[in-house]
Amino acid sequence: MNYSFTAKKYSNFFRTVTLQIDTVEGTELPSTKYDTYSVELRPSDLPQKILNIKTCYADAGVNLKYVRKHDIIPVSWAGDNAAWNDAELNNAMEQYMAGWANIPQWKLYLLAATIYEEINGEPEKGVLGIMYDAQNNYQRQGAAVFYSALADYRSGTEFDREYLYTSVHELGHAFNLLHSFQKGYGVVSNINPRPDSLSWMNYAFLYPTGEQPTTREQADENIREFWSNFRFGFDHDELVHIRHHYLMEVIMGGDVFGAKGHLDASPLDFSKLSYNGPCPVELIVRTAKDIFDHGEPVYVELKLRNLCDEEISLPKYLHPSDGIARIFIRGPTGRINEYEPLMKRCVRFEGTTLAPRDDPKDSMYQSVFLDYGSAGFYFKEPGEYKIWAVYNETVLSNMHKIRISSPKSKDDEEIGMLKHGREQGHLLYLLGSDSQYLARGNDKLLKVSEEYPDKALAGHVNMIEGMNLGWAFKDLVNLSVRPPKHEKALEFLEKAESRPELFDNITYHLMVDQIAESLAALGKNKEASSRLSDLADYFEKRSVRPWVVSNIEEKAKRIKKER
Amino acid sequence: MSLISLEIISPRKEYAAGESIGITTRIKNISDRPLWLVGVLDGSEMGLRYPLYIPEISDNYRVPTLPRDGMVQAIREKDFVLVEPGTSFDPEMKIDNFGFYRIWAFSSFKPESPGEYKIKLKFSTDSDQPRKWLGHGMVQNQDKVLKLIGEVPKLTVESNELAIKVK
Repeated sequence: MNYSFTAKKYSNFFRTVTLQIDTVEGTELPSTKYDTYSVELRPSDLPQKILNIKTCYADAGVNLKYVRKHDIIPVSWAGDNAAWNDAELNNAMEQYMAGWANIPQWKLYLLAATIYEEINGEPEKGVLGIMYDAQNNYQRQGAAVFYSALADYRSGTEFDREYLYTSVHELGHAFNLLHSFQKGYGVVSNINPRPDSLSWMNYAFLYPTGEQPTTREQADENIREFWSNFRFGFDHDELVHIRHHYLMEVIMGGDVFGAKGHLDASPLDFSKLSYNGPCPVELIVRTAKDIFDHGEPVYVELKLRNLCDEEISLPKYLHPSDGIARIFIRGPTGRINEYEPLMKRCVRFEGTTLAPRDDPKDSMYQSVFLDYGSAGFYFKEPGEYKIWAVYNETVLSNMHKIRISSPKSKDDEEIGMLKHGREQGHLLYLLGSDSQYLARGNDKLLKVSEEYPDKALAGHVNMIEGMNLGWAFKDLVNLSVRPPKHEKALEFLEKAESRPELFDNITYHLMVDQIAESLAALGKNKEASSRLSDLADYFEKRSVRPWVVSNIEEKAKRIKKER
Repeated sequence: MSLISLEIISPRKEYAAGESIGITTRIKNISDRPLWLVGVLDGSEMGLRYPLYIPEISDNYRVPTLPRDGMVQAIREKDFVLVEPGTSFDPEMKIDNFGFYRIWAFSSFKPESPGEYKIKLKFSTDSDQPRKWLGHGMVQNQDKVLKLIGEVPKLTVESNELAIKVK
């Protein structure tokens, strides 16, 4: 199938990354003017060029912008032996890197250090560089090159070449590139090692077979062979990765090193998108609370806000089931999962307009039930979770932190058992159902509501049961329609309504709206109107957007008049 | 009493200058129970991660440098080998394209000058800190791998000293 489209050019680059390079006292920065002809051993047709880290990454489509700040770090930071271990390198990065933060951001730090330290504390001259930031939760932000080790290994222009090579190589790891001969090592099985790759990410002495040489002559021959052919670039697949792979796989502080967590995620259909523009928007993830009880469902609210002084148009879809916004969850073990909704909607493109910033209508909102999706429950384990979202593959949200409490009693453990089943997950996701195929799960949830009414999960069960009963249910197995059961619905919903602290504003609004609908259906319009007025007051006190409050007030008036 | 013995072997005791000397390594389980052991991993020889396999060669020989970076492959479940009592294990055996590794100082050992060369190997698993074992990147089945690390006996053993005469 052929597609044709017009692409508007915004930049010569696919990515823009800031790079700060610091030096430890006694070391020097890599050369900014490496001449590709300065070492004789090279491809015969290699064009003569002046290279430095910036130009090498520009060739890969990355705009590396040097940070002006340049610190000279005392060698004493490395301890008595003047050799740097990973913890000391991390410490230097956190202290000296401008704007360092434990979040995904396009920021890199390179330290020209002296020499690396083995795990037993001995200096190691055989290590030329490292991307040391590879064992914590926000990896790939910092790399180091070891000046003394490089000087011990090479001199003259070969030193300059090796220094440049090592710098580009270690920064390549920060873009989540593995060694050429180790591609596919780890979680991805459909990628094969490429030991014959003429890439910054290879080891010359392993070229071209990837087999460890067993003699010095063989190692020297491999090294000669590599430099005779190397053209100072990344290979094709690496370029695709750097330029086009999913944001979190590439951005520093995103996926852990070596992870390809999004490989199976469907690429977005960019034909649906009209918003690619330079006008900035802000994406915010938040929850009604920061600490959740064991078994309490997790909902998040997404807010997309226009930061421009002019009106903007963009796709109106903010729910992950529409495929434009995506949500990622980093669990207590550090593993990142992309939230996969239970069902995806095939949406016809519809745009919406966000008013200029600071206008009451400068934002749109979406509540997302994040607790359960096609991969099951996402928050089963107690501990700290980080949640963030990406809109249109370009806008990254804040990193929102929540904690799931450990079970504090046998009751909590029982609640966990009653909740964590496939049918229960479906019911919570769907806001309840009469389906006979989910009946056993429904019984378990109702048991929570009846036997543990004070628990947070009971509040959510009451909400979904009430919502389901307030609607008609079409039973396609028996070809019948169960009409709304408003009185029973109200029993559940009013219990849930009395616990507003459990719900985000959007969900709470939805629930009170259903209460009003059910009351109105029972002819209690005055009471329905009163509930909505109370909601409007409540939201006003919570500084909910005035237009939302006035919409509720209008509905309260309207419902009062209806008979 | 030690649980294992570590032996390094060469086919002959005397070599001509410039001749390659093939040194091989054996670890024997001399305990009365099966032991989980790990062969030479990426970075083991350079002291970048556990288990350590650190060769020591007398000062009259300089091991040729194979410069690399400090990024070492993540450890895998299949890197753990259960060695039965009384049996030996070759820590340099090839189990797949990603391990185990040859000890470069031994495989490339080719003294050019006459003299006597003394060679030893130190093997150590003596760390309970998983980060010193795990390496860089994603560790598959991490819970199981951590459990296996816990089951490897924590010890440091030195091999016999191999004396090679080069004429």
